[in-house]
Amino acid sequence: MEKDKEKLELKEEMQKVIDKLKFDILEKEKLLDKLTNKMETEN
Amino acid sequence: MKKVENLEEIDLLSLSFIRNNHDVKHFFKAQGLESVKDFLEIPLESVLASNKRYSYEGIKDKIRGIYDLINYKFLDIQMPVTVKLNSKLTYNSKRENFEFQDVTLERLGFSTTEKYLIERYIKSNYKVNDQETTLIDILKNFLLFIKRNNKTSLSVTLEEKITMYLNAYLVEKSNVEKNALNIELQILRSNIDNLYNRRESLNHEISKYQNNVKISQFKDLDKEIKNR
Repeated sequence: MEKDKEKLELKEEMQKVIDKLKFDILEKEKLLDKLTNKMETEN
Repeated sequence: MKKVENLEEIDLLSLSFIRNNHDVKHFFKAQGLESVKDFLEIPLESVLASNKRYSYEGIKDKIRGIYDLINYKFLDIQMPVTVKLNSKLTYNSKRENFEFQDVTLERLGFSTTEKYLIERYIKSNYKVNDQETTLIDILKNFLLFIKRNNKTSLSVTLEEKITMYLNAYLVEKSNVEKNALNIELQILRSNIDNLYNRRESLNHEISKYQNNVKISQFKDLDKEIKNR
């Protein structure tokens, strides 16, 4: 029972990590888009 | 697995959940089976196949059911039929009888009398259009019903049998849920690894572009200085 509870808590923590990573990735993709556009304009 | 000693000393026919099963008792006597150990040692399916007297499926199923109950009670072996306890109640309009989709009451080791009592309970308490009711739900309700009423030896053996099935079902359900949770955690770990790799790859790309921007700015500045 105790082990199951720990696993459920771990599952919740992992889900939060995934959400944070997805958000980071989205922001970085936007930044990369801006940088590539900028480079193309300058060239 | 349970450590059970002295199975040879446990009288097969005295087991409470066999007591009311007359045709099963006759089978055991005919095979010369006296103890639980004797019964567990026989190659059950080959004996059932070769025995002409006990050839009809109802008795074979009852014996298989008793075999599961004995394995569960004495050797802690999970019953293979627990998954079928989710079978839904259906109505056979030809036979004008309630049945279960994937399992029979004989297969669960219930005697003819026990089966009759359960079927009577179902007829009194369930309707033809109760299509979502499962066998496990009916057994739970029936157990409450027999606990509330006066105890006879028949109801005691029924109570023990149904309780064993309910416990076996709960253990099986819990194992399935644990496995499902473990698989979920593995998938989440794999997702996290993939996302970390993706983020690292983006960081690398961004650094490259930022460096290029800096170099380009440096070149512009350098040109400007030279032109002054």
